[in-house]
Amino acid sequence: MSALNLAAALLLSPFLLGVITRVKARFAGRRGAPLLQPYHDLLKLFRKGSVFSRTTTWVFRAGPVVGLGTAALAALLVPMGGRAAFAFEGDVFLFAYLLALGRFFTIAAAMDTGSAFEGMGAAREATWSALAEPALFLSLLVLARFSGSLSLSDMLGPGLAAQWKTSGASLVLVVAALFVVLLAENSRIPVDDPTTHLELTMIHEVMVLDHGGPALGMILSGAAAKLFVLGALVAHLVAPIGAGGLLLGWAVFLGAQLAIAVAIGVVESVMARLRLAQVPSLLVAACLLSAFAVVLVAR
Amino acid sequence: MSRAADPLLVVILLLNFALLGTSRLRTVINGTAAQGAALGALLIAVPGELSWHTLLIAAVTVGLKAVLIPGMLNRAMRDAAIRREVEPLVGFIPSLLLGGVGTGAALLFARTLPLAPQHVGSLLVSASLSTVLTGFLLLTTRRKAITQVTGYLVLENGVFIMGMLLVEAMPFLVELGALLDLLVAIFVMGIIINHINREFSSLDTARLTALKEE
Amino acid sequence: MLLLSLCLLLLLGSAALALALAAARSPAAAQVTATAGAVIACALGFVPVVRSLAGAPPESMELPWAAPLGPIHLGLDPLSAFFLAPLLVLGALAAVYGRAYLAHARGPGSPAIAGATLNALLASMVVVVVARGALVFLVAWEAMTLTSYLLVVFDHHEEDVRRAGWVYLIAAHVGVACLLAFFLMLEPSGGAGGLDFDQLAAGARTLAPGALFTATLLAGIGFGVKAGVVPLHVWLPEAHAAAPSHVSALMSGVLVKLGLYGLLRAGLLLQPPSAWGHALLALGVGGALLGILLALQQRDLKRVLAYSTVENVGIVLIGLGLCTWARGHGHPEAAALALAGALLHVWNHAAMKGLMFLCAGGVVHQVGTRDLEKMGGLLRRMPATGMMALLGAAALSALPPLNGFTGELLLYLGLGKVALAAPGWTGAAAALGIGALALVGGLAALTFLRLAGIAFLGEPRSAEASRATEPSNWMTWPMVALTAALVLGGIGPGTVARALWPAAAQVLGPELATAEPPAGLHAVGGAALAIWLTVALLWLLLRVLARGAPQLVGTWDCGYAEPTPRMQYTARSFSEHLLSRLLPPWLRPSTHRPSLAGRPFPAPARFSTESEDPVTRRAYRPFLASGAERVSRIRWMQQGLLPVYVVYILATVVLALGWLSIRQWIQP
Repeated sequence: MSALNLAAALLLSPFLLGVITRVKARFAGRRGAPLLQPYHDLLKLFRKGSVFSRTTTWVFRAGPVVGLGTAALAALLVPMGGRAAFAFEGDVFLFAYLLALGRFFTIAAAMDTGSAFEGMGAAREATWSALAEPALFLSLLVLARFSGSLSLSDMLGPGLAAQWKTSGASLVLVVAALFVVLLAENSRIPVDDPTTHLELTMIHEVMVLDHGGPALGMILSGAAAKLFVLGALVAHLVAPIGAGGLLLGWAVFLGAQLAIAVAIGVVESVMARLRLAQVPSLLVAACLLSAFAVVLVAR
Repeated sequence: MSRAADPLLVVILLLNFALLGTSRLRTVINGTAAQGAALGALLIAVPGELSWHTLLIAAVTVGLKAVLIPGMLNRAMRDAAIRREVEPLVGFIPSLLLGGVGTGAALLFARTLPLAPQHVGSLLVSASLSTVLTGFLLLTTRRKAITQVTGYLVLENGVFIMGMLLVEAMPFLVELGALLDLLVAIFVMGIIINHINREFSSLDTARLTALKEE
Repeated sequence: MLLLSLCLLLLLGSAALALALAAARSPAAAQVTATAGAVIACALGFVPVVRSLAGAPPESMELPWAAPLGPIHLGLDPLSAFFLAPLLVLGALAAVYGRAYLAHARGPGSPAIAGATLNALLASMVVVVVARGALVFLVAWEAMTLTSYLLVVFDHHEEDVRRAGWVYLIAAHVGVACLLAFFLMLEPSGGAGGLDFDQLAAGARTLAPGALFTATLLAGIGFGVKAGVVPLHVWLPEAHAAAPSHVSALMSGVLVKLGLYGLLRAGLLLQPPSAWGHALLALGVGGALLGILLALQQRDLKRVLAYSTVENVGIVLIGLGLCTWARGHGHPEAAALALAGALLHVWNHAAMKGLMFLCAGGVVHQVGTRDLEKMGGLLRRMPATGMMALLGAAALSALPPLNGFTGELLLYLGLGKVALAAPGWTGAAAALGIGALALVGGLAALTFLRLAGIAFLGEPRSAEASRATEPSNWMTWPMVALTAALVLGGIGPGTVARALWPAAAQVLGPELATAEPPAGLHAVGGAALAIWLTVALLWLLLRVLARGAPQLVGTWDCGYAEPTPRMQYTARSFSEHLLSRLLPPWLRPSTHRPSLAGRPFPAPARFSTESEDPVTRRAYRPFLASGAERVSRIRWMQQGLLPVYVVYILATVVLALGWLSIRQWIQP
């Protein structure tokens, strides 16, 4: 089970990136890169040599390593086709803090270069994620309240389908809040633009400017896994699997993941990136949505 | 409670007046010493019976209050080479009058206190209050640091007499407290004298105004 | 108890001996004596502590004393042992570190006397924790305040340090006044007049509800001042920044926690109603948020850490408040989780903050300033200190696999239990509490990334920083010990929790205590191990993939030809967005903008920002200023003449006596 989850998060996730790029290309009227292009990119990067800045220390190398490692471990805590590989009371908190650990070292690695641009990206990423944190926790708490358990496998378990019928309103709020968190955490439009060409306007991309070769490969792979893992939360929400076999479960789950990737592509195509000063408003709005959902449920 | 104490207390009261009325520094110091000796005698007189314990305490009291400290003060007076005259802020006659009024008030006041039956009618409380008052007067109306030390000593003597009220209840504690207090007082004042001597090359406490925060 | 008394005697004896040696002009011998005394004493004292935490029955001891307030009563129960454990460990480490740290002190303070004072501080803290009577407790509490004050003003040739010392002394004595009133209120009326805690507990049961409320409030203020509970925290950042670093570590790690010990002990005496839980929760959430937001603003390395202590005390208070509330409302499991989380966080924070202050000491020692903007690139120059500081920063951001996460996990679980089970607003409030805790966690990550990133990463921003080297071994080894505690506490939280379980059980009482720490804690320990292994594996993988030595180049400078270290992001700019746009104005740092308009050629001008504690600025300063205004009218009373002051005393005595006799006459 754990091998399956891990493999899905690490091996299938770059495909989602390909899907997003393809959707955006279609919106722009282009044919777009092949869907498997991210795999080629990764293979190319892993075959290259390493180039490091003289300023950097081991922290610079720890960024990619911890980022990929925590995303992979987080994948073990999230239910995918079936239950998660590891589940215990409180794993939801470990899940959130694992992602925070990965972010901590990614940011530290950016600051390790001593570049003003990377410092800027680091500051923005740290600020946004601090604001996104309550939204993630509160949305998950709504699910916890429904299932009566603080374990992700129960929260995203078979009971969700019934909940949509009884308390759809708060679930819609949760989906909206989680989707915003998903966009912010994965540095997508409208919070960040992963394809921008100007260092000044980047957040995540500018932090990894100095990484290259295998280290950049690890970063890309970790980012994809993180997208997959966070997407898994939303996927279970929008396509709850009732009773059914493992095969059906995986089929529904992967289908939902694809749908989310398409949705991200659509959002990226139809929206502009928000002005920097407005990003906090979006995140605070997500917090408020989820807080409102909590109040709605606890009422 | 034996009435044997009362004559001693009267002696102490008279010594108070002597301290207030004299102009000679040496007399002030010797008067304080005499008061200390009287206190030692009082320690033996008040409980009405002799034990080695009271004797020891009395000996220590006399040694400290009547011999050691006055000796130190005399030496300080010699060493500092100061004028051997009391420099009063308030004249001797007014000081005496104030002391007299205070003693009278103390006698009146002592009657209103709810004392243990064996102390009613004794001069202990009034003598104590009067001595405390004398100490205060010496502290406030005399300029020289040495007179201030003696003022403090006399004040301590007054507190000491008050402690006699408790001497039967908890003798050890009273003694310990009184003696400790005294030692601390001497330390503090000794330091003050030394500092004044060094920093201001005189023993006039009025110079301390320079320390006032503006 | 015997070993603990030996520990006390050794601490005081070595302090006295060190003072004597210092007086005999052999300061080196004095320092060695004080340090050795502290280390041996702490080791001795640790034995009964471990025994008590392993489940040995409570011990107690009575020394006869002729004071009117009865014999000296000391005791060791699990709660005392719980607080003694970090005290003794951190005390020994601080003593070792302090000897090396003060060896090069430049000010007028004597390192030998500081060593002796540290031992006296340790002794008084031990007595505070083992005292079982109010009198001994208060005496030790005061001794603790005074000795720590002496250590805080070690660098007393600096104006700031003297001011910080004053603030500390005044705040501490406001607290002591409240405690004195508190204990006197509890004294059983008409009884033997004893001030033993047992008798006080009996006295508390006879109090009227109104009096009980006042007593609880007094205890809250008295202990809250020491614990740095917002809004009583203003002394804390001042004193922590001013003190020598090993003293800051000890104060932050232990002394502040004794305020929490006092709260717990007072809670045992008073058994306050569960409504107080709301107040504690609100204070905790407010304190955690305010503390971390202020930590984010500071330029001073040690002030960042000090404000983070305010934040962490807030987190502990959340746990205590939840526990108080939950036990009265039928959520025993949540109460146990919250209390265990709070206690676990106390231990964890002692290790984390102790480590960080020791690291900060090493940095200040090398760079010669506490200003973050003058640091940078220290990780290359002080690799061991830098690595430990980074781990400490991660731990303080509550990140797994380190110990900081474990205590917060229990708090999350406790809050979660209430959020899941309680109906209506209570559940919603608990859920929002989780949201607040999550926000605090995110802000802590921002704060400590800023601290570690600006100080240790990048390029040095000053010449001093570029010349920094690793501090001496005597300073490094205590840090290594604390780092080991961080790592091991992260891997084995279940074991740590089992060690503090007796203390939690004592506070909860037998009917609420559960037998075992929750299973999630063990799972998190396993996860920590998994994280370390995964990271190690991937690190090797990166090594293998990199194939040979990497090519070294300059940092990508976006096309600029001459990048300088001054172009780096600064500490101020790192937190700029949050501080200047998102915070309410009263929380923002104040800025001094030069006015450049009106002249064709503007004169040189300076732009500066300054972060002053908003509680000081908005509440205490105006209040004290108006008070000083009023008091200045009786300024004439200060004559500077000794006789005049004596007259004041005389007048007071005469008035008091006169009032007595008049009362006699009026009502015979």
